[in-house]
Amino acid sequence: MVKISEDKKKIQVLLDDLVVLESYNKDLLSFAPVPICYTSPQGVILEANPAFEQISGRDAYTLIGESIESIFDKEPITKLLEETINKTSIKGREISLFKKDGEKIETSVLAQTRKDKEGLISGCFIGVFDLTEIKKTEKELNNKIKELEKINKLSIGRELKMIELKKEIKQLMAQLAEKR
Amino acid sequence: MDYEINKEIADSLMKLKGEVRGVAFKTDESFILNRKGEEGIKQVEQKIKELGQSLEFRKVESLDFYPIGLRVISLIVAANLFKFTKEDIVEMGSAAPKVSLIMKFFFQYFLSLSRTFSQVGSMWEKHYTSGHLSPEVLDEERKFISLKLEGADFHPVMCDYLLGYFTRVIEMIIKGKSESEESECTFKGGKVHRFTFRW
Repeated sequence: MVKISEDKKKIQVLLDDLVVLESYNKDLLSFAPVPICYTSPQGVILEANPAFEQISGRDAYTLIGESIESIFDKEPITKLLEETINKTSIKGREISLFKKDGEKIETSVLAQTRKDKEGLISGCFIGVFDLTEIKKTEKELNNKIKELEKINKLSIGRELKMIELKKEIKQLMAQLAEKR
Repeated sequence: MDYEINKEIADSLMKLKGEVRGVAFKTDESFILNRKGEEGIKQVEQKIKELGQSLEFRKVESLDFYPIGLRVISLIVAANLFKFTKEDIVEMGSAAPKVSLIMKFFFQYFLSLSRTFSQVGSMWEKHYTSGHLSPEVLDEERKFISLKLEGADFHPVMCDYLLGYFTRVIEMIIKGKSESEESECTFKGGKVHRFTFRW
């Protein structure tokens, strides 16, 4: 009898520790500014942090149980999952994410498998980086480059014209000298 | 849905054999908060108090055990207060695996139907101290599953709740919708509770 009571106490201590650990886990995931979700090997979302809720425009209630393919561009995300399962991890794959209202967001996705104690793949962690600002800056930079190229082209054109004009003046002056 | 409930019925429900993990109250709390907000939680707690019982959702510990009767009472109270239909109760059950701490222990078995199927008994035992859930049929070719629940004749409201719960777990594996029903029920003359799923 005493042993059972001691075992019960030990189990209770372990359960209490588990609750503390779960709470820590939850706080850590909530704190992480990077959108993270965990999916089954088939791509069903089993957990999502608040940052993932925000970027996807869906709350955890809606997200959990949904297929990851309904959030991202279907073909590339399916391919990413398949590749992750074969290679263990994939980094920096650009895939479009679609918010609930249909807004398209360019993202960089990284994924890593999770294995159970028997070494079988039990799921995939998926991290997402919002490329909206980077893409915006990239676009602005490209426009600037194009503008500069245009100005450069114009400048070079003007310079060539000047050289031509100088040549013409030289020729005319030579002709004039001959006539004199 | 309006289930009969008064102090006498609540007292008799409290005599039901068995306990349930606090996680069940936590998932209900999450559902009610989502649908009715903080005020909804207060209303349920107040009504339970009026029935001579005590439940404070915030103070519930996910892994502690609580009387199964209290679980049934809280479901009935929520259903009556918020005029939940059978579909709402099914949805309540369906929402539970999404936010259940105990379900996270089983994520590792979600890699195939057969692996999850082999764990249903353990899933039940992690939640309830009475009753036994056993896998009956898994026919992936015909896309059919049957689960049998014995010794868990708590209340009809629990049948709807559990139907939603099991359906969600199965849908999380098959990655799609399934048609589910409680094809046999002890409250309708059956010998056991039998839940069937087709997709």
